[in-house]
Amino acid sequence: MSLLDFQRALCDLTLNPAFAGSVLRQGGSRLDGYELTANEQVRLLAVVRQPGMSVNCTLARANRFAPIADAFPLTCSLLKPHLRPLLDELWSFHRPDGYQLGSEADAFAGFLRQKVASGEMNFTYAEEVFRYECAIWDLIRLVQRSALESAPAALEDTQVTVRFGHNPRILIGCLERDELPPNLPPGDYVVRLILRGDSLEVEMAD
Amino acid sequence: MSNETPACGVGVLFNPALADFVQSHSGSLDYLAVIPDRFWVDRGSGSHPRFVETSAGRTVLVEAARSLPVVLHGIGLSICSAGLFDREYLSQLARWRERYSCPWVSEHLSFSRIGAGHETNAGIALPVPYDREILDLLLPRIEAAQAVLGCPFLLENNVTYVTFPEQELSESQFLNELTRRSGCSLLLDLHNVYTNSRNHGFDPTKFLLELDLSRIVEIHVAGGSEMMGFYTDSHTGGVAEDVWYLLSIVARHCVNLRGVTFEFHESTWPLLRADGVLAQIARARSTLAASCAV
Repeated sequence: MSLLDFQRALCDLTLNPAFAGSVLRQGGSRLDGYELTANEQVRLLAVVRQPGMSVNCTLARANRFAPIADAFPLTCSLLKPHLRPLLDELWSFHRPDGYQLGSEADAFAGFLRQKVASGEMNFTYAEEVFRYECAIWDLIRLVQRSALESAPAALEDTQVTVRFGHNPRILIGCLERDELPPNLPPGDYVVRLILRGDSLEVEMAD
Repeated sequence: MSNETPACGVGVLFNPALADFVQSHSGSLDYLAVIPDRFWVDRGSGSHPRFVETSAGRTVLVEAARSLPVVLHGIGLSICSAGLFDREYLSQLARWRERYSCPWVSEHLSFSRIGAGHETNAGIALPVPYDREILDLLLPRIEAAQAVLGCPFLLENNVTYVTFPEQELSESQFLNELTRRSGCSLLLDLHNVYTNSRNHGFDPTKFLLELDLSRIVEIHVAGGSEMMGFYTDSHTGGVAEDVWYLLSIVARHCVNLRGVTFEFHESTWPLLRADGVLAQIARARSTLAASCAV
């Protein structure tokens, strides 16, 4: 049990910089929940004192963020100033459960959906941009699920429409260039997402 | 490069940015190293099917395998995890090894997975202390891996940004004892050695000369970058100049060396492009030739 708990503690310290900080400040008592030998406890206390522990925590966060940024690049670009506290909140309860970090994007999507539902996603353009990327992500997941079935569903020409309250061509164009969008007048716009084979077509009406 | 030919070749570790390169420049490569985990979704222990192969990049791999040997570089075994030894994962590696007739398979000497059943992942490959307890944990696992894979099984030396006090063995002692007692081979990542030497203040050449270099079958070369006052194994762009130097002094002593693999992160493709990758391959060849001619 001891080696397993040593590894569990090192993993927890890596995933949770706040926990590492509390061990650094308060000492070994914060490790009481783990079954450790005296030597293992000494090692963990030595590790949290090393600057390299911050590198570990940062690299783990970067690796966890990569699949989120891949799936929701525009949302992440738009939320950039608010992203760190949002991720801190998400990762305070969600832990990665696979070496491919495959649940990170889904967890992020679920977390932001809750924020939208509770009215906490009150950043300009955030709701419509997130809705657009969720629709794309849902289609990707649909294709992946279909591939799992022995008789894949016919997805050709599957269409989804997403409504925008501001000009999506300008909005998405700016975010794709990693630029903050300008003030846009409100309007009613429809973007159509169409699956054609392995590719996704996006139709925007001006 | 087949199972029977001992000559040392030069390859690249495949990433999505290399898709076109591999198709148009396969003649410049002696083999292709691939992270098989990038070609499947692992739905977790007990799922049916557990490994779902994705279409992305698959065509390139199948096409490349017609003209090039393919070696596997797994990232999911987490062989040093105390609580789990994933035989399903090992079997999946073995299926791929058989499908592509891989001359060898490698994995990492580290852990990222915690707990059987509902797992937690650390998000990075974490180091283990160089203790006899870890050797005892690894020896039967390596034996099982060699039996299931049916080919040389290599373990890669780790990069680490923290060190554990009071370890029973030095890293070189640990690696030597591990390879001697298990019969496994080493994938010597020279950039990991270089990164560790920069961050922990030791002489990389002294470390290399302490290693049993006859156990090395593959060498990785790469570049890195500075972050938070550390030098990191970020695989940025071309190979670090000091790593070329380490290759030049070590290669001639690696009597069982079969391959030198250039690895870079796909995000740094714009720094390299095809000409840059070709230049790294040519540099690896000339460094090997010069080293072995001494």
